[in-house]
Amino acid sequence: MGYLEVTNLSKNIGQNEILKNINLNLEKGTIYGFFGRNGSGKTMLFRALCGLIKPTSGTITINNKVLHRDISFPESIGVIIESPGFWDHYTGFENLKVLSSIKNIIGDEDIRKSIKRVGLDPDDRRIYKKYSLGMKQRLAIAQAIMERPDIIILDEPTNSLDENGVQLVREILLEEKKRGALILIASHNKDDIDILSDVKYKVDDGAVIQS
Amino acid sequence: MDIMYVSIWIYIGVNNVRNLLYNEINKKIIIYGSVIAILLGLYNVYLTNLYGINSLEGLFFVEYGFVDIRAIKYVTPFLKWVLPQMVLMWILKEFVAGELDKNGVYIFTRTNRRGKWVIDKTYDLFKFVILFYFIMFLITYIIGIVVGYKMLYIYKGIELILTMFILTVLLNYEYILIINILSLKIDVIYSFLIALFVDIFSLLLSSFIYEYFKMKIYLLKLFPVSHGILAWHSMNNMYNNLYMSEFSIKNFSIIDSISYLILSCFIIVIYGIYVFQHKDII
Repeated sequence: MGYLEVTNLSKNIGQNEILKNINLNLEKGTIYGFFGRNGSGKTMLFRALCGLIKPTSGTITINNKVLHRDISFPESIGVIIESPGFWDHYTGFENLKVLSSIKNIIGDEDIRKSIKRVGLDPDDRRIYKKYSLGMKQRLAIAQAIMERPDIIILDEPTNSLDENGVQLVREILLEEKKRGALILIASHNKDDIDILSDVKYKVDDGAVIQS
Repeated sequence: MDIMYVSIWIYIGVNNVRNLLYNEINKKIIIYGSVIAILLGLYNVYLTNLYGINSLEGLFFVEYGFVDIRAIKYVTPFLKWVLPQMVLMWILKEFVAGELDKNGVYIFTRTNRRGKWVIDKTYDLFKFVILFYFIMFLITYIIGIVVGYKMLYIYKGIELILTMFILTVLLNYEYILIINILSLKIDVIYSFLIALFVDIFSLLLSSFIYEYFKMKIYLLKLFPVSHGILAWHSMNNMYNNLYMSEFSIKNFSIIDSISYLILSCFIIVIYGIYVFQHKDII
């Protein structure tokens, strides 16, 4: 049994079946790449894995605990789904400090290290609102990795990044994989999927097929 | 030493104002609240002259505590009452849904304390409503002073103004809660329209009952809007000197209204917690 197991997962919204009988068996220390056209169900699948939406049928088991029965969200997860949303009038450091205070398992130094790791300055006094799109995306990556989560789920992680940024994020993800994290990425960037993924899945009309 | 204290107070004051203005919603509340208070204040100065109640209490009463039920069918008194509410509803209509959309993924992959989040957001909304009416009441006071109005009875006057502030804040908070909690289930625009409909329809229905079913006037106690209008409460020595209309609802006390509004806000928040705990974050 994998660290993260999805069994017969389906999700209906209204009359639409947006996830169709999905089965996955995912191991730690591996990068899984998901690709597919817009609206194919990648983001919805990621939301289901994060515990943000409840399946209509089927189960998601993480580390032998069933989501929405034993736990209401994965205990150790870092996530970027769609556009990063932080508090506009806080600095990058302050934003991560607020989020880290929810679980309270890391200190200021860990936050500073994460910010430096993505190429930002933790002492930058600019507020988030003044950040460029690339800086916002880097901060979102820092947010996802700062608590050294067991599972990292990234929807379009290289969005808005320049070439150096893309390279840096790829290096970070490979380091996180080496640390033992289970990583799921969805990207329009075929290179991201090809270069990073150990296993690739195609998502089409709510169904997932190993590629 | 005095200069040092003054400097410290100025520093604290400037910092507080700066922090207040950092928030976009606070900025909107201050700007729109000020503009509406100035427009309505000037119009209400004219009305106080017309009614012959040229005092600060009179100005506050006309602006925040009085809707002439006989004149609801005419546009001006109706608009005068609804306009500030509409603006506040518009400013705050998507606060909860917007915050959820913006930060929900990052927060609820770290905690499952959804109830606490709803309570925190509804508390923020309460502070916004208080700020909006604090600004409006402050500007009404300044306009009153500028045109030379004085308080007729200090203690009674303060009691009257505070009562209107509490009723106004609670009534508007209830509408804001309705919009924000409904927006967890339906589109923000629909929830805004529903709350606006409740506000406007209950005023028009009150007028209709007054005109055609005077015997059923006690039904007005059921509508939220009645609880926010001081003048519709049973005669109270608090505003004897301002009595301008023969209309009031029998056995309709201010304490009942405050209880009604607090209880209904509480029920809406509890419903919001229930809805959010079962909601998909999409």
